[in-house]
Amino acid sequence: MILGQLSAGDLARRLAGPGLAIRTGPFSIRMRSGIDSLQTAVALLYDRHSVVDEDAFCDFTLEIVPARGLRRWVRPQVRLFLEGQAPFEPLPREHAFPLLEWSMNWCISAQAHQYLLLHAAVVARAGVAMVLPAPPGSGKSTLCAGLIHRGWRLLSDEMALISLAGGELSALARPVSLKNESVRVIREFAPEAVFSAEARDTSKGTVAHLKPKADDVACMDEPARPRWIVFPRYLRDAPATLAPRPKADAMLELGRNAFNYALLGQTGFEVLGGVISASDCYDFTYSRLDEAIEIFDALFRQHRG
Amino acid sequence: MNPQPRSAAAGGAEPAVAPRPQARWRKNPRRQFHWLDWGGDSVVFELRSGHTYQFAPMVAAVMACFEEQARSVDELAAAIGSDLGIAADNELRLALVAIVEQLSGLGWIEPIDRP
Repeated sequence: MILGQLSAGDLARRLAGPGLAIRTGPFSIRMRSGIDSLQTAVALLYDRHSVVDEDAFCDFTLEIVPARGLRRWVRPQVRLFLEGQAPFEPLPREHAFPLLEWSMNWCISAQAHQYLLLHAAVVARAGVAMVLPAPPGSGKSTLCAGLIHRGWRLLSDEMALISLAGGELSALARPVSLKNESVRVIREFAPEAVFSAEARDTSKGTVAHLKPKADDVACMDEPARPRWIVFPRYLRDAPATLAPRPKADAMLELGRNAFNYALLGQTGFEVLGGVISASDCYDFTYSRLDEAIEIFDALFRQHRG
Repeated sequence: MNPQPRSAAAGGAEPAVAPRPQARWRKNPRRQFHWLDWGGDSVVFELRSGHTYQFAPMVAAVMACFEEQARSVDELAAAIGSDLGIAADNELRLALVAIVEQLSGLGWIEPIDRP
């Protein structure tokens, strides 16, 4: 069953009660919350995701509840509970859905060490993947959002999950987090795109989440092989420029961008080395999405021969 | 040539021993290295520290020489000079001394007869 097949009443009952468990890539996540805005966003953005049985095992259980005391009424706040612990400071109530998303990222990055985890967006086409590692503000998520509306498949906008066994990339197919000016850029670039309500004044500015496409959710169990590693950088008014980057240099940069490279030791070295060996590595500067996508489409055509 | 290593994590250095011209050096037998090489573009993982390093090609070449056998700086200069078809002159020796100091500082090589 997919989430969109649940009635609004059943969805609200599960979320406010025993929990709504969904599958996102290799993980099942149970969420609980009676907060309306969060329920609305989950119903909108996860409607194609599989629902897991109420009593099934889940990798993570996240609960977002109103803060106690005066904060229930005055500038209301919400708190996240993870397995009964509250690892973060409370946030304004209107940030409930971004808090849920950030918490999912945190859970995966802190615990899923059966993968080599890179801080990177990943898109794919015909089974081959492009990894886009970059720090916040580099335009990684904007580029990812643009690509998935021009024929590329979304694996993740935040995290590359690399199998320790075969070096393949697994998909999460979760909403893409866009910030500030990027929200307007993607609304104009892809008018058909579906967004959550904007959450203003978060620690990252104004945030909105972009719904993953139905096809990308439907094939989220299909891994992709690494083929390109592109380090993007948004530079106002700059022409799109793709420049080869030495593999050794790319490997060190990826190691620094990883959540658990050091933790995995020699295995991490071997897996990351395999990804680098299989990939062409580039630095990429851009300011216009259309130009960027043209260049990536050319890379793909070159790959297909 | 830039012999400075770049690492994915800060490296734990050992006290460097200044290379004497006739001293012979060998790979530290307590260290294990795993190399990945993409045609002169290489990284090395050092098992004990868990750190990954990127070296200039000449540093990688010197370390490869020590992995083969123990050598003095003069022997190293002769081997590298011969392999690369360059003169084993004073300039090369000075560059190799700097690299030997660096590798010794990382604890990757050690003098056979420690003073």
